[in-house]
Amino acid sequence: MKKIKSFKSLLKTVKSTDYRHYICCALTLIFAALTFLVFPTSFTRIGESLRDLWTSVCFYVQELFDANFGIAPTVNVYSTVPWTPIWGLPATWEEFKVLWGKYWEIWATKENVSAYFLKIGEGAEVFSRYVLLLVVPLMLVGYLAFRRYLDTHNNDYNKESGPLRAVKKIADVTYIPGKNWISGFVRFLKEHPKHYQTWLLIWAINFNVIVIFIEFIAFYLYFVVSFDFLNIYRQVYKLFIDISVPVDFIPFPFWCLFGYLIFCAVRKNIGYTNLNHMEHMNRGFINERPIVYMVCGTMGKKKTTAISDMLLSQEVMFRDKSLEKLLENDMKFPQFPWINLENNLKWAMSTHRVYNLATCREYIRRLRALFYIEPENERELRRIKKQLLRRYNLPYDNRLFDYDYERYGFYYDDSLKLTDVWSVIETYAQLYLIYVTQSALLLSNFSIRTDTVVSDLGNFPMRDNDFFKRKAAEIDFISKYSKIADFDAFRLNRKVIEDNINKDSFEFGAVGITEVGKERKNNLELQEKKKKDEQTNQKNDGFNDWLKMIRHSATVDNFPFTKVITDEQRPESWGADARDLCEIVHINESSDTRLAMPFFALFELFYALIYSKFAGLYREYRYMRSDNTLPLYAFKKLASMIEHRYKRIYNTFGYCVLSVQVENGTQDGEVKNKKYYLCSKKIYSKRFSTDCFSDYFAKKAIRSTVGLDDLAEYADVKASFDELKQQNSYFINDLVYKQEKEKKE
Amino acid sequence: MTGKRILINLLKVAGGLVAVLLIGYFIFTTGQVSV
Repeated sequence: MKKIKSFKSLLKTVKSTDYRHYICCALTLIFAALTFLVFPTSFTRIGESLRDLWTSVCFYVQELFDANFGIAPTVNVYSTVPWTPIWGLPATWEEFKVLWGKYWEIWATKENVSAYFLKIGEGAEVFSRYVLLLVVPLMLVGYLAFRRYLDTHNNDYNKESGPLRAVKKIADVTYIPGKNWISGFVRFLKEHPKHYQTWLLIWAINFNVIVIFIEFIAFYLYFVVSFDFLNIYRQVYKLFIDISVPVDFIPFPFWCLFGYLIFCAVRKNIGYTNLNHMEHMNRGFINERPIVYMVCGTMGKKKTTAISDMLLSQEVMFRDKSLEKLLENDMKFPQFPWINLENNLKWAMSTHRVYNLATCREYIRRLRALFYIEPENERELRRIKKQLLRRYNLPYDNRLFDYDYERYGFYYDDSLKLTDVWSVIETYAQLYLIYVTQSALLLSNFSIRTDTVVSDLGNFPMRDNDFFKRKAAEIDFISKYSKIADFDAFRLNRKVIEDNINKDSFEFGAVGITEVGKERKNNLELQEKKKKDEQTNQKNDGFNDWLKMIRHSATVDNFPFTKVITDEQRPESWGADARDLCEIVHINESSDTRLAMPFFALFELFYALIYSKFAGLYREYRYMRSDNTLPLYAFKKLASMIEHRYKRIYNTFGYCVLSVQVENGTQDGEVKNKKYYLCSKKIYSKRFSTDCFSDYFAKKAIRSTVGLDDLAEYADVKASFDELKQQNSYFINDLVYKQEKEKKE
Repeated sequence: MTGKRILINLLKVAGGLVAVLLIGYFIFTTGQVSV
């Protein structure tokens, strides 16, 4: 009875286990069987490599301590496995030298070149035979089929042809379930990594990967004490013997596939390196600029794009700078338990006791004062203890965050001045606040998206500021947006709303103001506004004084954590008092989009060929027909696949170069020519809206009851008198007025 | 794609082809020696 029960429970377990586990186990068994049946020598090699490692370790220790264990190193001994290395590599260095000379003798001979081109000719013949026999006729048939469809006209809206329906039905029971199963299986493997890790281990044994690794360590240990240069070649020969196993086993087409995948990985890596280099060049450009600067250019010159890009980089630079300075301050008192201070600050921030630099300074200063108080009696001591615990979450004995200053010192001497530990704590706390602040350090009059990922395991948080490797599907979950710039926070005197809660909120961060001239206006436009006016205006609000003093509120450890970046079409649109503070960056021109990833030319040519052919035929097809046919379906699928890949590569690795000129705000100095790089992945990944003020115009347009089609059209090439009057133009109205006046006279 | 870009891409592809032929020639010569 018990046996039946246990059998039933076993059956239940078997049934409830995902069947893909059984497939994985079967594959594991097959791979393991291959190890014994096809690669039995791999065990011999592992044994030999372990022996080599052991003798090398003994040799190393022997030489290190000048001892003699009587064990000779075996790493230079050839394997007993009877393999021949790939590419006929000679066994000894002497043979290799002879062949090396022979190689260069042959290399430059006419016969060798002729033989090579003959070989290529043979290969090309085979290739072209297949191309001519298979691909070209197929393409011709496809093209002719497509053209045949273009000869007949129909209005069968979205109706599918018979062949297309048949193909879709076949795909429904073959391709689609197959594809779904494979993608599900890949997901399954990712969820259960032990399966593929076992496979990797088995194949690492089969292909001598483990042997190569052990032999490398064995030779390293042998070489560092023997400096036996003569036997390096022997190791190369042994390496070639070991890699001849996978080379012989894996078929050539798979090597081509591996080669292509490695080629893709390498070129992507180069692409990312180039993009990061450009980002660093941009950061250098921004660092060279003063705290306030203005980007100018006519419409469509990518001004707002450029300032958004600069603000994004600036925000990351602030975080990087705070991290750099945190480490600098950490090193001043290396034994200080900074984690205690950080945890205390986290608590203070969560209880809103610390929320900006001023409150942070105040918080530490109060703690410092409590530290220095020497209680005169027990009652006062109790009062201090209570206060420390309640207001600062610190026990009295721990009021210097558990730092043993008597042992490790209270002062830091940098040979310029003496700094006590509390001053360093105050600086550290402010830098920590800048580093951990969750919001983007951006304030702007248009929205900018940032996507820094913060990883926090409860210790020191790490920020991932990468701009180029974010997945498009993830950005909605990791995005933060710039803060709404309340201009009252930038006014030192009068405010638009006097009791504005945000009026004193600005301390540090990067400020972005697009179309600054329309906000601040120039002296000519402000002629009628007076400083004495009752209403707040550009002349009496103290905005320019704020700009001049901005670094004072934002300086921590002698570094100003603030920058104001503005844009406008003409520099003169912004009043001279503020403009003279700035540098002006004129955008002269933007280059075409280029690609940071190399070796893409062949695909680009292929794309141009296929897509241009498809676009022409598709336009014609749409004009003639409305149904869906198999050739259209297949051609569209192919063209869209190629187009999607092309777009994705260009969106990831595309960039354009802005040629800019930098001059002083006074516009009387030397003009410097510079370059600024706009990388598509960084700046066009839903970062900002080019029509950031469009909501205003949308509201205006929705009031209208008239569309473009409803507007009156000229009747002829020459406008009639009534048509001219419909323009409501100052010029025409003046003419009409004059005419009517003359008539009256 | 503009004509200029196509020309640049053609030149790049031609350069790549020459590089591949050269690498192929080195490998081919290796085969000749070992024989």
